[in-house]
Amino acid sequence: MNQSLIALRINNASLVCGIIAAVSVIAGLFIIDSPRFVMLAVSIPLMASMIVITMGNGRSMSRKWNSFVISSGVVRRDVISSLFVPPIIVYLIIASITMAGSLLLSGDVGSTMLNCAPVACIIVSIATVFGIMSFALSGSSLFSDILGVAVPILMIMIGYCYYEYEPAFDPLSIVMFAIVALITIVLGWRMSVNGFRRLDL
Amino acid sequence: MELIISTSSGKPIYEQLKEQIKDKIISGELEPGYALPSMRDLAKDLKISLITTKRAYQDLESEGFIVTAVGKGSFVSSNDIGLLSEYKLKEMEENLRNAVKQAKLCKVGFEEMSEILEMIYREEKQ
Amino acid sequence: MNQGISVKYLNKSFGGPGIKNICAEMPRGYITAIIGNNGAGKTTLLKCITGSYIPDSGVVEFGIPKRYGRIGVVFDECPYPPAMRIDALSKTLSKIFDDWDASRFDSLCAEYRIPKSSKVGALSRGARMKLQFAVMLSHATDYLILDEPTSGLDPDARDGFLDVLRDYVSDEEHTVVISSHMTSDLEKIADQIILMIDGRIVFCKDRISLMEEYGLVRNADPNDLPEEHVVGIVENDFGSTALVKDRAKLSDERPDLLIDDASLEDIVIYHMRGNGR
Repeated sequence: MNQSLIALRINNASLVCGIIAAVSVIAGLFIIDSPRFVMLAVSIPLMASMIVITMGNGRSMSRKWNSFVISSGVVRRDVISSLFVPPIIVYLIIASITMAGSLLLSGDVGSTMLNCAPVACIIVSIATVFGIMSFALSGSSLFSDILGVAVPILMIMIGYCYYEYEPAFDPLSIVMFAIVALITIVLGWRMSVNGFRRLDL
Repeated sequence: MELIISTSSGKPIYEQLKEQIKDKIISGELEPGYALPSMRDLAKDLKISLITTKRAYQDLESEGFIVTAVGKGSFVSSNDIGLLSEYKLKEMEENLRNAVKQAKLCKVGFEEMSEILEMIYREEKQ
Repeated sequence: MNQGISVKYLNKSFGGPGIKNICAEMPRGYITAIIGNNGAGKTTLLKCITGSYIPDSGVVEFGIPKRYGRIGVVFDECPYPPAMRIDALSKTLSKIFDDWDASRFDSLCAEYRIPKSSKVGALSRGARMKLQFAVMLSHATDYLILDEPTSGLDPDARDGFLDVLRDYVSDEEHTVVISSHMTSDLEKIADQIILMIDGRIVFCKDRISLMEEYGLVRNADPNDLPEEHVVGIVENDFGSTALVKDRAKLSDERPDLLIDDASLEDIVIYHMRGNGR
């Protein structure tokens, strides 16, 4: 499997991880009695930066590379524009399930969801860094990519530690998240770039 | 078959091709039935446009010098060479007519003109 | 149907002028050059042909239907990911194109002196262009569409490419459409020329028809020439030179006029500069 294609797929997966992380944090905001402003302060930049990084990767790849594959008769323009839609739908479904789960099962599961966030951040950052180093599709500079990843993660970590939030990093949360992350990475994988090969011209 | 193209001669390339091939046919260098290179091959070798070689061959065919069979290629026609050289003779007559006009303009008499013609005829290499 | 590419009443704009009512035939087996100044709409037209843009109205028809991966493209900006190594690019493309000829790609890269271990972004502009050429020639294609492929290339490389293109159409199975603003490319390879000005097609003719249609009248007196024949007049220190059209008719009307042949370059330049004054 071509290394660059792997990175493409992980970049797609990082989108879902970012959304889940952000949604988890927001869910946690309404379920858990925690310093809300901290949660808010980290969730929004986190969500924004993850989406921007991944979309940024996707977009600069889109413009010129997609132009190339479209022009070569590999895929139709209307098809490739819609290629991002199934993954986003899948991601939103997973995010909704996450949020609904938090709302319905407040308390331990809710806090578990919240704890997923830092783990999600770590996975996203690894994915993004891997993507940056092996296949920098993003037109943005390496520096801004790293900044976009690092700052929210630092903020969330500081927030957690400072407020001594107890269940941080308990084993259940890590396992739960790993399952969710695995499902979403696999789905992202299936939906990503090589998927278009099956779509007819 | 050796063909020389000049891009600076002012004469369109297809005309240069035409004339050179015609000359070779009339002189007998290319005999009736000789298979000319295809238009594409010629274009490729001379590094010119297919449109140019196509036009040259079309003109040569309409003037009776060659015949083109679709799928087979172009061949020097077996028409009477005498008939074909009439084209060249007509050209020569035209040129002579122009020379005479010019001579009259410069007030050069027939005698003087004949002398010049003789000199040039001897000088001109085959 | 000439089996090439047929464009009918194509319109595309992005709020600005765009291209209007474009009708043109790009025959199979020929190299059609689209020439025009910047902003004339060449790239827009090409993108409508390749499918990158969806036209507002009109159709693009392909004599040989557009088959998967059978169109070779060269853009003025290299579309491959900058951080990708050349060997990785070859592997990626082998998964995209059915008949990717990796050994051909390798030998072309060697010929163009593109090291397999370089990253796309690390190559010079000229090398990136050559890379696109190498890719284009390494998979089976029916059509080649090139947008300003020779800008940024040294004359030697440019010559080499033009040779490659000429070879490509020599079996009369392939069609090439190339856009350029370099008039010097025309003489070398254009079989047919489309001139675009301000989003419209001024003419779409083969080179011989163009030379039979247009001529130059040197030392022209602008007031002396019939307006309907004058395409453009350029003045220099020695007087004016006019590009005239329908030269056969003009020659009949005005046997006193000396009408010289115009080069392809002249024809294009006078159209772009003269504005039919």
